[in-house]
Amino acid sequence: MEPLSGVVRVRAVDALATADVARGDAGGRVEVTDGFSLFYDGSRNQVVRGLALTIGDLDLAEEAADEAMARAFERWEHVGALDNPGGWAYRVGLNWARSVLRRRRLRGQELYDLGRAELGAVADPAIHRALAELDFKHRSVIVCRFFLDWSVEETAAVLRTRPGTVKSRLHRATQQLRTRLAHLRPEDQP
Amino acid sequence: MIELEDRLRRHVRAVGSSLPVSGGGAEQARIRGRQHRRRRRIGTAATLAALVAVGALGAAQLLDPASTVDVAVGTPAGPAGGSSLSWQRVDPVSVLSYTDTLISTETGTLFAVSTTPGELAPGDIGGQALYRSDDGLDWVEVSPSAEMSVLDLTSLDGRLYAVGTAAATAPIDPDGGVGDAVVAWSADGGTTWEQAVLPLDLRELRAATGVAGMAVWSGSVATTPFGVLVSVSVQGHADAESLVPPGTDLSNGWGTTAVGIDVYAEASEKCGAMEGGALAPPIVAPAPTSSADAATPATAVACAGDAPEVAASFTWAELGVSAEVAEVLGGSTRVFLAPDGVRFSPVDLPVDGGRSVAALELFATEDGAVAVASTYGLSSDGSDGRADVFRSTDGRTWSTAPIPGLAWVVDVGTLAGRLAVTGHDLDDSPVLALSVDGSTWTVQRLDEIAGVPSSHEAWITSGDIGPLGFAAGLDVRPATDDQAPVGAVLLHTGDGVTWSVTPAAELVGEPVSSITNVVVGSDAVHATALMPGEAQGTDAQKTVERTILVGTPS
Repeated sequence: MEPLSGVVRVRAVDALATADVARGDAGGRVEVTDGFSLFYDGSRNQVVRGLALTIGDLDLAEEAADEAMARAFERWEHVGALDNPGGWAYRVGLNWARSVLRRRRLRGQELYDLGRAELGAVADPAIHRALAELDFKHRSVIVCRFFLDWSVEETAAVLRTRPGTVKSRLHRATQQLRTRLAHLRPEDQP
Repeated sequence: MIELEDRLRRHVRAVGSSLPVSGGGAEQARIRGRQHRRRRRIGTAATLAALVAVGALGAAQLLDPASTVDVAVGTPAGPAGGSSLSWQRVDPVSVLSYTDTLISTETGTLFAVSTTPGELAPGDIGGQALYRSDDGLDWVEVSPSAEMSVLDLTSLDGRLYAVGTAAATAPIDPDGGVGDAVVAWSADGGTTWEQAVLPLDLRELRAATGVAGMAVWSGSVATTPFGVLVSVSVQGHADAESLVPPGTDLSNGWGTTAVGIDVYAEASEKCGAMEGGALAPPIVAPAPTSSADAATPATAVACAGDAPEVAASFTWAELGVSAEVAEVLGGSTRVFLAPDGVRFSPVDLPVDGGRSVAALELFATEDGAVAVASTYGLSSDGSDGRADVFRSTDGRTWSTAPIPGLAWVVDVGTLAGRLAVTGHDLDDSPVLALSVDGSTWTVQRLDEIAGVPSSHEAWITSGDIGPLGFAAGLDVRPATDDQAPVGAVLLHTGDGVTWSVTPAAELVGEPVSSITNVVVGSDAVHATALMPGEAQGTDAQKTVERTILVGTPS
């Protein structure tokens, strides 16, 4: 598993603020990179994965992440100064994907279709199926906390809600999952 | 709980890490971002021009913060009038979870294809099943002997009909397996079933060269005077790499249209060259909007829009794809008729050339059948979507006409003797279209009827046209704030003229985040209200997330 920290920890504004990073290679050729590139390279794929886990469609997640990244570039002076530009991209991508879903007349549960080929052999089928029955807001909390590794406070900031709401959504989501999985894991029953 | 959290964490990390993510590159994001900026400038200029046109007074009012309207869903602004329904909240014995299809029979019995009802069925992770209810408040699972993935239901004279895919297959199977599309019927309330296989060889289509996958994702069934009419919407997934000529660069993406495959270009060359007379440098720090930027209208027009530039287009014929497979790859809806209810044969709808039917809703009238199709043309994203209505009195010959102002169909029925179609227009606004003759349509905006301010957006979450009229749930929220709470409102009309508009929260007595599962029967209208669901105050163990709203003629 690749490091998760790149999603949120890249303070791309730092690179931007200290001028572009110039590095020479052995041939004397100079490549120039900038804050946005650092942010993009460190965050984009994890944003895609987080969105795919949330909305259940990898193709749509890629498109949503690309849209979010374009908007991040468009507003880089603002986004790059945020504590968590990856969180900004996740939220923008999620909102964009939801608007697409509304256009397609689909609900999150209906779409949740990360296929077996995408899941690989590592998935927990029961958990996957139970996750698919959660709605966006509960699934997004799980993804932010358990996949993107954001704290409750960070998750609340990303989802623009209160930490208490994150906790309660997390509680409700795990309660619901526990109910769904009760027959498989009797020891988990309330 | 900790053990479950660990299990969750392991699962999402394992799945997330194994997803085959393909990268677009930071430069692509820059190009797209620059296009956004240009488009925004165009939009700003257009808005300013419009403000000038409407006059200084109007502009001042529009821009005056004091004139901002709060969410006031349920304030009737359209045709006023009392509701013919009296609504009440009823706490159910059981309540449906996610529902694919929900119908009311002539006798008022409700049938639904749903995941396991609510939280009242612990120990079941909720596979989809057929449920029956006499009152909408207590649902029992019906076990069809012919296990199938049901896409739609209907009933006639005590018989229940279903269309879907056979049990051994899934509607979408990434491993390539795909099975029969079937029609099933039951004369005993869904307890036992017989079924017929539709003459559509999905396996052969799936095995064709250039097909990477196959999905049967939508269906409709109607019992008409001339027999049982069904439709299934099939979408093949193209294997572009195996189809396009060797050396074709697919790294910038590709997409299928109704006529073939578009291969996308690296857009920077065209836009960059037009923008400054030379290619944009590979790294460009975002610059503030300048007057020089604004003075490039030709560039803006050429590069505006989200659609990627197309480097090459290949028709299905050029790619060696047969017409039958091409139809499926472009998205195809097949219609079948069984005069005897058992033996089905294909029916050809006169769909405009170059347009694909994304989904079809079938409806039986007294003298025939109506099919309303959500269609699209060359655009693969539905931006040129259009609803077309087809009518027939024999199931073989069909007349057709577009419904202006309607793009995506939610439901079809009759309302006070007129044909009624509800859905969304190209701007995503909820609408109801009415027609006496099927060719001339009157389209009403439901958000305007509900009094939704222009600063807000509204969309249909569930709608149904039935014996007691048309009812729908609308979600409403500020258009510029995706994080704002969503308000839900219930609309009802018996005739398409007089409407009642009711904020769901008033009926429920607490905030309602959405309305689902609206079904209009012969003696009542049922709707499910979804509450926000978080623990509130000291009620940390609050578990009720859904309740039922029942509307009866007053």
